[in-house]
Amino acid sequence: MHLSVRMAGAVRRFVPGALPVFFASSLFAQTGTVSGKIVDRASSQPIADARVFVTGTALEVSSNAQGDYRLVNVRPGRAQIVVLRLGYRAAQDTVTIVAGQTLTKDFQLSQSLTTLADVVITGTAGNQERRAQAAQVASVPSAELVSTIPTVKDVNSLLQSRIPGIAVSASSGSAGTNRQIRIRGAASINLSNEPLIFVDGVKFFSTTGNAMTPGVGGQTTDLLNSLNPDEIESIEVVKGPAAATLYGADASAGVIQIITKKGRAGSSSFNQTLQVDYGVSDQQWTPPSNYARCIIPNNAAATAALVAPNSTNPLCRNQTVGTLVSDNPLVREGAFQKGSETNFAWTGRGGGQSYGYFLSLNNQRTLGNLPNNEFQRQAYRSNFNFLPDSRLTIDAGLGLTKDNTQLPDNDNNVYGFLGGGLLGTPLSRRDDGVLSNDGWFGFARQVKAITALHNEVQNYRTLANVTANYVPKAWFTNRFTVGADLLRNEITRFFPRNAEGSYQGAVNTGNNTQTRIGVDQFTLDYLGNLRREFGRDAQWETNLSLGAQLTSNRNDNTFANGQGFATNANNSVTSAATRTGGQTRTFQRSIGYLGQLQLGHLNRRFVQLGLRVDKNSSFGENSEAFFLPKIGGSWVVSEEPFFAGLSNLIGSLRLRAAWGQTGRSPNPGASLQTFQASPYAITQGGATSVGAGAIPLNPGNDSLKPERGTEYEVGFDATFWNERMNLEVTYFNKTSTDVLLQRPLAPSLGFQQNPFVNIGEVSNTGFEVALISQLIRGPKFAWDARVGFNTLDNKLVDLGGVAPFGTLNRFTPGEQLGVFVSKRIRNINEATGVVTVADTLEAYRNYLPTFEGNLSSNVTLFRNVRISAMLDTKQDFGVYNLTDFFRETQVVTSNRRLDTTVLSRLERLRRYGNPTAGRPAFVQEKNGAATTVNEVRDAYVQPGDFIRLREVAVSLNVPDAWLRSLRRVNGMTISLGMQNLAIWTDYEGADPELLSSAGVDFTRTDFLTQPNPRRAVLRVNFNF
Amino acid sequence: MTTIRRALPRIVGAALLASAFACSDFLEVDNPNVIDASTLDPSQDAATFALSAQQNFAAAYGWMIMYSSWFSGEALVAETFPTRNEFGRREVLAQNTSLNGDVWVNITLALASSRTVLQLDLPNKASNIAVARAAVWAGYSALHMAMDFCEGTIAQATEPGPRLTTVQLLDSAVAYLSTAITVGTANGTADGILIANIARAGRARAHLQAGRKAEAATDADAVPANFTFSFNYVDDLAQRNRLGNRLWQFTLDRGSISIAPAYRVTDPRVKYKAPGQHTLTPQDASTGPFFIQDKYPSFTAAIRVASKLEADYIKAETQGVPEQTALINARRAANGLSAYSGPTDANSVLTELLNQKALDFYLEGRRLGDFRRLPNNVTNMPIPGAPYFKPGFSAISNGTCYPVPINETDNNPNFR
Repeated sequence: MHLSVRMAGAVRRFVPGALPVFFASSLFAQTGTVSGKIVDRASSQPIADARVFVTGTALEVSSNAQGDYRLVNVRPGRAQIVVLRLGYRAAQDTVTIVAGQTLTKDFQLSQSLTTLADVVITGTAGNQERRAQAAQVASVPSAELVSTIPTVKDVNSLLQSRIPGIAVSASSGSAGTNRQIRIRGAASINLSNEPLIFVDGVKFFSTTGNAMTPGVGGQTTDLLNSLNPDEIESIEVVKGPAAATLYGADASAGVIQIITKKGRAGSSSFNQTLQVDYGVSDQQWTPPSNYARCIIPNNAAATAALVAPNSTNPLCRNQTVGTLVSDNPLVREGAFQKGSETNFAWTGRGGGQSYGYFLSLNNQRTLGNLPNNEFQRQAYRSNFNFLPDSRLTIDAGLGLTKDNTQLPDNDNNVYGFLGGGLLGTPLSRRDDGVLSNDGWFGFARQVKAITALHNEVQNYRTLANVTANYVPKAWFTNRFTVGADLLRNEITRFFPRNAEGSYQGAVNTGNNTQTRIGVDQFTLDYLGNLRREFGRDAQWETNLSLGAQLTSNRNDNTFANGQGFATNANNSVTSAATRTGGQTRTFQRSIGYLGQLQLGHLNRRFVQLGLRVDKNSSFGENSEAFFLPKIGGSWVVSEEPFFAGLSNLIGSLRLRAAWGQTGRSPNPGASLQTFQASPYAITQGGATSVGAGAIPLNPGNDSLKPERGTEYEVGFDATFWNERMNLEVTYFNKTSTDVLLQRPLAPSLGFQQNPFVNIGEVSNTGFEVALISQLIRGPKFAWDARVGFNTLDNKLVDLGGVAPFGTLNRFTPGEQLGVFVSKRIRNINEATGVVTVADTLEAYRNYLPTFEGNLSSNVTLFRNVRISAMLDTKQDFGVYNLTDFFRETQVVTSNRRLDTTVLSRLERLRRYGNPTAGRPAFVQEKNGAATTVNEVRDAYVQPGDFIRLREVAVSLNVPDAWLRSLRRVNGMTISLGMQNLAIWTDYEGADPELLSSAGVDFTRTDFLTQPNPRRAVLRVNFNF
Repeated sequence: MTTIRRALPRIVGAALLASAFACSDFLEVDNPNVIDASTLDPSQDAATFALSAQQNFAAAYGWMIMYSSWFSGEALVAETFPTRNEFGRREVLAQNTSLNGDVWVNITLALASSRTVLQLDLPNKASNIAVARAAVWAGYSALHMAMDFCEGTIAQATEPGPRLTTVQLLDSAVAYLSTAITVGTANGTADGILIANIARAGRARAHLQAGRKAEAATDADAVPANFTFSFNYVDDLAQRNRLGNRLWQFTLDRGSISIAPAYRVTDPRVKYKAPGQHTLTPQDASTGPFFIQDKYPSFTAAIRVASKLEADYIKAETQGVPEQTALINARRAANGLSAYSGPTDANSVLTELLNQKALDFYLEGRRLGDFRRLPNNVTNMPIPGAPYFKPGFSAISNGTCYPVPINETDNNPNFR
């Protein structure tokens, strides 16, 4: 902390002094200045971070912590000053500027939930007021959330349960592992359903679930973890094609725009924050014990030895043959530990007359609940904005991040903690000092051996952007953005050499795999906008926008593996006895042109027409350019004269409707007919050598084109009750056609990959409702509540003649994508034990929840104490409890199976089938054929419905009187946040909210997956 | 700054113009991860394709042997994969993903890639070594499909093929192997002659499996004395799945193969290590004592494909008790056993002949074919109705062969 304060002081002294040297003020002669203070009308408290701009110019500044703002270089004459702040009604006034003089203009803002004047920058051409938006763009007030809820430490937490229609699912409870984000369901079968992500207009590489994702040990890390949430001002989410058209042929899964904090140009201030967090986490889960009977089948001698007084097995020693014994290796060896997290964050924000800057430093460290699980991030960001005159602004940002994730082995992984602990057998326990499985699954692999595995993903990321806004005329604006996302991953997976045989085969001689992934992604973007007013009293307005966007992505993946080391310290790949390596590289480039025409009437009726044309290097040779149109309208009904009579009841009402199209591009090289390099061995003259061979890989498709997503959405935004209640309701209907499907070929054709073809149709429909209410708004007590929920009806409409496929999550027309299937049980005859099942796989449970909702509430006491809580829920979906399946039917270590008193006979028949020797476990209903539990999964695809107490937070703004002894401290907040406090569910496993393969679509499987931990974080935040 | 302001529109305009004109070049990218088909010359690269097809069969061969060893009682499934335990219980479902991914995909790749070479318009087709090589492995692929699967299919050019019975598959195998004999012989090189002899041994087996004993005997006679051809495997850390010995891989890396109790015998032909003689452990602890195979003790261990010894067994099976007894005793003597002293009726002798063959060709993938041909003379098969050796599983079923996977039947319109 001491260092941080000193550093902050140095920056504070240097930056304001240095910048004017570069940006000489002589440029700004013959202009005037406007300054003033912005306060809350009711409390007269200053309002920080209000946006203040002059219409028709590039000038925009923000207020400082004292509510002060300063606009310089304002051209003489009449100027309209507009003030915007989330949660307040917009304010504006027209002033007359005199060259060389400073005008004072103060504003008082009234609290309001009306969002009509809010400006969004995503999903449209240029900045746009919400009132003109045809399709909904949701906003997350990130800065506010981060400052008040200490458990929010990453972008995914900012998105989780905040916006109806966005589903975030964790892959595991391990620190640093990835999350899956889905917006309005899923439409692609074989392509990613992850949304596109932009940071300050620059495309951000975040793709999960493909070969480039750094992941080790059965888990993957999350590239979004590179972003420090303290740097983020807000997040805008474009949910579907109706709004995402202008993002082109890869945006059908939605777009997330992350907007980082900007400097406070015009504020003539410098404010710092220093944040110190300390947190703990608790697994709050007792893993189930393993059971076995003290008997070795078909081996009387071994059984006798097992139960003998001198048995090496302490559990069966002196027991009767067949005694049921239990063991819990994870608990016995104390595998789970209490996790901890620390976070130090410093930000500096300020600006001079014509420039602003934002600087941040962050060091976050989280220790997970299993040994060798750690996430650490060091992040730095500097954003500068420069306003040389009223026609030009330049924003430049640079973010540098180094994050490091060390992961334990887990999930579908024979080296995992949970695999080792939950699949072991008590019969392998021994206490005579001889190395053995000792109750763990597979080989001599206990906590020490699993902990010794070293899995590490280290990311070095540089995010850079420069945006220039040039307004040569009040009616002509230009925005030019260039940016880069440069990512370097270093991945280590190391099995130490050991004499115990802890791992498998030659791996015990030591094995080191080093992977280096490089991603270079560039964005070049131009947008011009021409605005004209016409008609009587300028009641009509047109906005014509034209632009182009180029993106380029290069992924390079190089790995080296070495096996066999003399010592564990000497473990570089070069030191290994056997070495190998490999490399893959992909390129993808796209170019898109866009145009949009918006017609406005009386600033309350708007119509938009738009078109984007795309070409992409991954389209087939014969594929045409991809045309994506959109049309929409917005009508602020409440501002119509005829509505005046209702204004007491409804403060504002806006109707909106939009229709648009976007796409999802195929992967690089997907259109080509290809062979795969595959070596062959040939023996000639007694010597065997290896030659370079080739085998058929993919038949290709030269007509390959993107998926096309078409969506319409209709809805309304309304405020009631003196603008203390805001309701947003949206119905969406998204249809994806030309779905890119890897059409399954008959394996006998000999191709190793199925070709992508454009067939099939998927629909997603649903309602999204968000209700915000300021229930009580008083000086000493305020209470607001938010309710958000969405429904989802996802359906595979057509597979283009392809036979349904998938044996667990299946793709069948008329059903949800990836619906869980089973040969469903038709009848159980308790008397005979015969269990009759369907002849074919039938839809059983949904893969995607059909209802998601959240309820959050904030109570503010005496303006200084804030208490918040959030409940969220997902309903009507299934989770494949593969952990229980394995424990009960494969390795058989569950007491449910071994202790016949635990379950009823009916339930045992349902789970395990007919136990009668010589009889099939399950009999098919019509053809009488036998089948196995591998296909009768009724008992193991379990309902995942849950309600979770996700967050509780309490924060205290320390009164000024208490701070007088702390020199230069302007404010101090102490917060306590808790996460995952309780869950209500019928799911039989550890946690229904997990996807053991979150990077892969349509596999909602809980297989030896670490559940989400309970977290508590204490934060102290200082403002200087 | 004024300069910047003036320059900006020009920069923007230039960028837009450049992007418009440079569009076609900008979108041209390399894809070095795969071989673009347009860069290959089918005629010039035929030898490469044929050798690749040969390796495809070599890789498939290891999978076929391992799975049939579980199904036919040579080995126990010492791991936890439900799909592999289905093989151990002789209850393999068409939906079994291991059946498709490990067995069917690999044997059909070997067959399809061999057929691709045969369909090329090559010079000197009648004596082209690439044709001979492709034909012999197409033949062996069809032969093994016929031995292990209840039915099968062979792709026709670019279209999937029709449903084929075991006899039809064997006929296809004979046709391919005949081509290999003809072309290999015409080629005349050492490779050509080798291929012709491999094909003769294979055709003898195909005829025998189809019940054509005379043809089988004729081909068996034509196999040169002491002839043996084995696949030599390579220990390449990065290519063990393709170039390494599969049975050692699943012994060492996965702990999947445990010698069945019936084969834990003292016979030099069945090489194994008992617990205490090795440090490996089975993946599934409920396997019990782990007897690992030692016939293939490394990634480079060769696997026999064709031999005069097999031809001798084939010939003997087509003959009577005296010839069969002679071979039985010769093999017993060669392996330190006393002469056969059991019943001398034809059925008993035939059973003993297959016993000796099972020992000689232990873990070589012959037993399932033998069982399908002579179900009453192949012993030590898992017994239907008997409990599986692991707790919690259904009893052993009565399967005699593998179904064609659902992945094929769902996507092959000609199969339905």
